[in-house]
Amino acid sequence: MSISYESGILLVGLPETGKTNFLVGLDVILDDQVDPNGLVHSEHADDRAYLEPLRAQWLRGEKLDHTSRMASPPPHHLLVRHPATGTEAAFHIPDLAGESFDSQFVTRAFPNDFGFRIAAARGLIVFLHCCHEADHALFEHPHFIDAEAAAKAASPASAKVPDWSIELASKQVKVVDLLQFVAELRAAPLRVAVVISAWDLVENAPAGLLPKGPATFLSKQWPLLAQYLESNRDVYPFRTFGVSARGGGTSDEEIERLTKLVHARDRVILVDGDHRSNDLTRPVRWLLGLHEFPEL
Amino acid sequence: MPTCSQPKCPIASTGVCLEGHTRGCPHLVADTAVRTEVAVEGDIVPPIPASTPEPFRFHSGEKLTAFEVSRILSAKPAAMILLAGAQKAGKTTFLARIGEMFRNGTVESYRFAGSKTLCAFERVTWLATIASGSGQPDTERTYRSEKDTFFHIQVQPIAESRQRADILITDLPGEIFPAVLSTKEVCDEQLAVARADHLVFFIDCGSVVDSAKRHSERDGACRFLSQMQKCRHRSDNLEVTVVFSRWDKIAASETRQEHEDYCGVIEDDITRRFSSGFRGLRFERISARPDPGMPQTDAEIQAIFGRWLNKIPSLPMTTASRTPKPARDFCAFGLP
Repeated sequence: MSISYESGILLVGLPETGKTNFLVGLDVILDDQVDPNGLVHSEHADDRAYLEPLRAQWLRGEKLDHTSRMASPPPHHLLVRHPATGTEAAFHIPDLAGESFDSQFVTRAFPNDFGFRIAAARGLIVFLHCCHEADHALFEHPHFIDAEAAAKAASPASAKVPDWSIELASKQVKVVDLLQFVAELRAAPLRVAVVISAWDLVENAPAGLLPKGPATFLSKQWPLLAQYLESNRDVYPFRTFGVSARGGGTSDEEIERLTKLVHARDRVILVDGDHRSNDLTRPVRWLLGLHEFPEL
Repeated sequence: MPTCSQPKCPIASTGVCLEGHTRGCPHLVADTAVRTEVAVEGDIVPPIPASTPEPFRFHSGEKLTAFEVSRILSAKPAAMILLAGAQKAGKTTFLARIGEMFRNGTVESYRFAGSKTLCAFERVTWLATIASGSGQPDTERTYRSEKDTFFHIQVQPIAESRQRADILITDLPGEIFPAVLSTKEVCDEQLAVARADHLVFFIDCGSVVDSAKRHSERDGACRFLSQMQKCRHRSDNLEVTVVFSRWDKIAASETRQEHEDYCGVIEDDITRRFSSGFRGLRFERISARPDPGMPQTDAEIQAIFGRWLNKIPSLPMTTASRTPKPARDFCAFGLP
């Protein structure tokens, strides 16, 4: 069987950043699209063995099984149509485990097949979790540190402090370096949709604690990544989205709240600047260049 | 036709790889075709199993070697910065602070545009992070074995968003410093001494506040600057910044005025002796990692950083390539 890499959207993100939830939520929205400018399924792929059980879990409001790095699922085949323009497209979207990307950073290498997918990709969706710390906290504010505890703590001279190892790199350094790897393989610009997942937590955070716009969130919370993308717009034209693909938490109360909604699609939150909807196809349309079409 | 795991290697089209090999390059991808060979007697030799395709490999993230730097300099203009000073004068902490400011988004005039050495920047900051469990901020020193290795950062001026500039920074290991002062030959061996566009020399205020050490500190600064003038073909194209590092040691001292006055004496002395020998000579007072209660000097550090970029011809983003006959790389020093 030959695999075509010609049409591919790649989901990239460290562990627990919402890639599988996005993929399943997208599948649900494609079947139940209410935005006249949104994408819909033109037909279902022949093989949905990977997605169907996850979709069932998602519909029940359960936490999805973790994607296994050891047994990576085959790329999901997505057949979509854009009713507003009549455009049809087919994509392979591999749902790689976050640990795979961690491993790529550590080994400083892409597996051969992933490298070819990158070289031929139409777009990249980069996932960040809104609760993940982009960087390690520094001893920058000593007045917030318990002086007594600090004094008791062993000094570097007297105690064994673990050496830095590459696995300990901060998250934003990992993501930026992975994007630098990608840039080395690409001859042409690659559109990037930055998805900040679990956006419901940002919306429910107390006022002033977190920036409420996705683009501002990225620049304040992930400054190195935001600056890298901003200064490499010629390589990576990018747009930032706030997404909650499952719509809430995994507590019993939250699951009950989510499942009581009449339409499963209503769980989904997508924020793009001032736009707010449950159309998870919007980032995909941006990657395809369909976003610029006027809203109907 | 062979293929290569290195991005943008032209071997498939030209027959010569990025590193000049026609065969035998370790980056060449093994031929994965399954071969079946028939022996002379007619026995069928079992097929050789296809080897695993080579992965695509990328930069290590650690400090660049002189060879890697030479390749960068051959491709595009870049500013080379040499940080020098005695052991524990704060060179690496200064460098770590620059990396931290880009990571926390507090650099005001420049945007981070890339780095081949992100891991190296993380490494030098590690002991200042709470996650390290070190108990108090510290910086791992630069070892002798790290001589002639370089940090890399690419930035974009916020006011000029069509431009990018590359900076290569090396910190002379403090262990080597005495030998560089005492022997011209050792000084000559340091690749960055001859090639640097900017020198940042660190005078440790931790020594300045100690009357037993301050004269050696001053003497070391003058001798190093003098050595630079001797070892460089031209010193009038070198920008020099003399940094009074760990300034918080003076700011917190009970006899602060006395030490400030002594710094003034050092400044006058260096200016008198060296201002005409270099392209520029400036002085800064910084505390890259100040003690509790002492003010940050990020603005001063950013001012030094900004000066590194003043003279490099930053290129438009789409045409950042260099002449095939590089004039400013390490070729002149015997490297390929």
